[in-house]
Amino acid sequence: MLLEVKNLGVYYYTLSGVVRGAENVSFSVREGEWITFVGESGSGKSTVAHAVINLVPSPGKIVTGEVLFQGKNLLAMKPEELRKIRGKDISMVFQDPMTSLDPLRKVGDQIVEAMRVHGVDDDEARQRAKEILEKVNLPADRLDYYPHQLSGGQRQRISIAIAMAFNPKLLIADEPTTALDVIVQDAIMDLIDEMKDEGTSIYFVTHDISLAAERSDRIAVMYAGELVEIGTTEQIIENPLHPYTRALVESVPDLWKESEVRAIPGYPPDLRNPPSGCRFHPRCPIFKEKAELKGRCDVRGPETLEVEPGHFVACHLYGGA
Amino acid sequence: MRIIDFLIKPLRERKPGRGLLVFGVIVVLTVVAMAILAPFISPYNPTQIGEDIFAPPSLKHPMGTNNLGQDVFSRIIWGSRIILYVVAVATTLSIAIGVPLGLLSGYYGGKTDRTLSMIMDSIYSFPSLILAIVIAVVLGPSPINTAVAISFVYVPTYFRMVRGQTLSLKGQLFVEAARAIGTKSSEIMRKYILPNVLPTILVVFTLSVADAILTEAGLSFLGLSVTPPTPDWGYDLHVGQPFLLDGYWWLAFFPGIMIMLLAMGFAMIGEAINERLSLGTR
Repeated sequence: MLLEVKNLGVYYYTLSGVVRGAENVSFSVREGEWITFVGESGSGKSTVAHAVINLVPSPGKIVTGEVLFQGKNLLAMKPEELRKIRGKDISMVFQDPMTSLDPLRKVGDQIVEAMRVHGVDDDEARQRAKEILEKVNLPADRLDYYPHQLSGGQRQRISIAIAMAFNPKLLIADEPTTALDVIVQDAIMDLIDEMKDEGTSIYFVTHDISLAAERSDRIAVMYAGELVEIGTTEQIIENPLHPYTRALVESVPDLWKESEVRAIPGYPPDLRNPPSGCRFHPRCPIFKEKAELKGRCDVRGPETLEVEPGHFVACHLYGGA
Repeated sequence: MRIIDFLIKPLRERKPGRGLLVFGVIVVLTVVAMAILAPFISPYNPTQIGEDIFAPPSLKHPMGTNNLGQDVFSRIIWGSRIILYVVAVATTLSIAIGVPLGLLSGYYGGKTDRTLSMIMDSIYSFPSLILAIVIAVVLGPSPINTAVAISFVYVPTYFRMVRGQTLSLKGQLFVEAARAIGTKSSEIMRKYILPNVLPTILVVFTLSVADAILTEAGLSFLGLSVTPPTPDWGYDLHVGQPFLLDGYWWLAFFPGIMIMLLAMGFAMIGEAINERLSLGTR
C-alpha cells in the first residue's frame, strides 16, 4: 500500500466558528492506481488532498488521524523530512494554473527550481527541464516565457512539468482541469495518464463524476466532509449504493436524451454545524420516502460497510438492522 | 539590466504621473550630483569665515553670504552631502530592519507576529518628529545618531506594509505550490514573497524618504544633528531664521527651498510610482 489515510479530520478555525472540513476519512491508495475523489464544492475533497501532504491552508488544522506514506506517518514527520518528500515522492498539481505559478519568474526557472530544492545541480536541472517540456508537448523556447505569456492550458502543462520533475510515486491533482476548456482538459488528462503509465499513482480530485469515470481505477465519493462511498469505477458507476452517489451519477446530463438535468435538491450543509446522524439525510430522497428510517438516519451516523469486495459505503440502508 | 530598464522605462512612457516622475527624478538627481561633485563645483570653502557678511545674492556670491561671511551657495552644495548621507543611512537601516521583520511576522504569524505588531503599532502611534527628537536627544548630536533616530521612526512603516503584503501573498496558490515542491520556508520568503513585495517597498521607500528628509531637517534645525561649522541645510535654516526680520532673507530662504525641493522630488517620484502600480497606499 502506497498511501494509507486513517481517520483523518481537518477543522478550519474561522472567526465565525469551527468548520469541520473533513472528518473520519479513511482510505488507501495502491501503487500505480488512479483514484478519483468526487464531491460538490465544500465536500472536503480538496481539504483531504491537501492534508495528505500536510498543506492544509490556514486557518485549517489537521485535528485527528494519520497519513501513512510507504508506512511512515507524514503528519508526525519533522518539517525537514516532509520537505524532502514533497515534490520528489509526492507532487501536486493545483486547480488554478493562473495563480499556481510565480508571476515574477520564468517558467523554466520554476521547473529548475523544483529540482534544485532537492539538490539537483543547475546544468542537469536545465537539461532535464528541456526533456520534461517535450514530454508535456511544449516547445523548448517556452522555458523563457513568463506565466502571463502562456495560456491556461500551457500553464497547467508547466505545473505538470514541475510535478514530473522527479517521476513521483504519487501525484495529487486537485481539480487540475476545472479552469480549462474541454479540449485542453482532455490533453491534460492524457498527460496525467502518461505519468500513471510510468508508475505514478494518481490521486485525482474533481467535481465531475463523468471525468472521474473516464480514467480512474477507483472512485471515492465525499459529502459534507465525510467519505460516503468508495469502490472500483465500475462498482460506483454501475452500482452506486449511497443515495448521494446515485444522485451524482444520475445528475450527469445525457446529450442524446432530451430529459432535464437531474439536480440534487437542497444545498450542502453548513459544516460549522453539520446535520445530526447521516449528514446527507436532510437531502436524501429515500429518507423522505421511508418513514421507518426516522430515528436512525437523523440520529446516528452510519457505519462504513463493505457491501461487496472492495466496495464500501456509509449508509443505513445497507447492513440490515 | 532589468532594474535599469525598470527605472528608465517609466520616464519615457506617456502614462499618468509622467510629469511628476520626470520632475522628481531631475530634482533628486541634481541634488545627488551636487553632493558628489561638491569639491569641484563649490566656489568657496563652505566653512571659510569672511569679512563680507550679509552680502546679498550677487554674481560673486550667487546666494549671498551669511552672518559669518560664509558663502551660502557653497554651504548649500556641501550641505546636500549631510542630508543625503543621513537620509540614506536612515532608510537603509529602516529597510534592513523593517522588511525582514515584516516578512517573518507575516509568514509565521502566531505569537511573534502579535508581539512584533504590537511594538510596531506603538512606535507608529507616536508623532514621528517628536519620537525622533527624543531619541536624538538621548543619543546626542551627530549625523549618525540622527540617522539612527530617524530609522527607528520609519521601521514600522516598512514593517506594516511588508507584513500585510506577506499575509496576502502567503495565501496565494503559487506560494502553496512552492511548498508543495519542497521549498524551505526561508527560500519561500526570499525567492517567492520578497520579489513580489518589492514594488510596495519601492513606493513606501520614496514616500518615506520625503518624510525622512523633513525629519532630518527638523532635527538639525533644532541643533540635534551636526555641530557647527559643518554645512547643513536644516542647521543653516536655523542660523538664518533670526535675521529674516532684518531683511537678510537669503540666509534662511535658500536652505529652506532646497529642503522643500528635495522632499518634494522624492514625494513626486513616490506618487508617480504609486499611481502606476495603483497600490493604494496613503
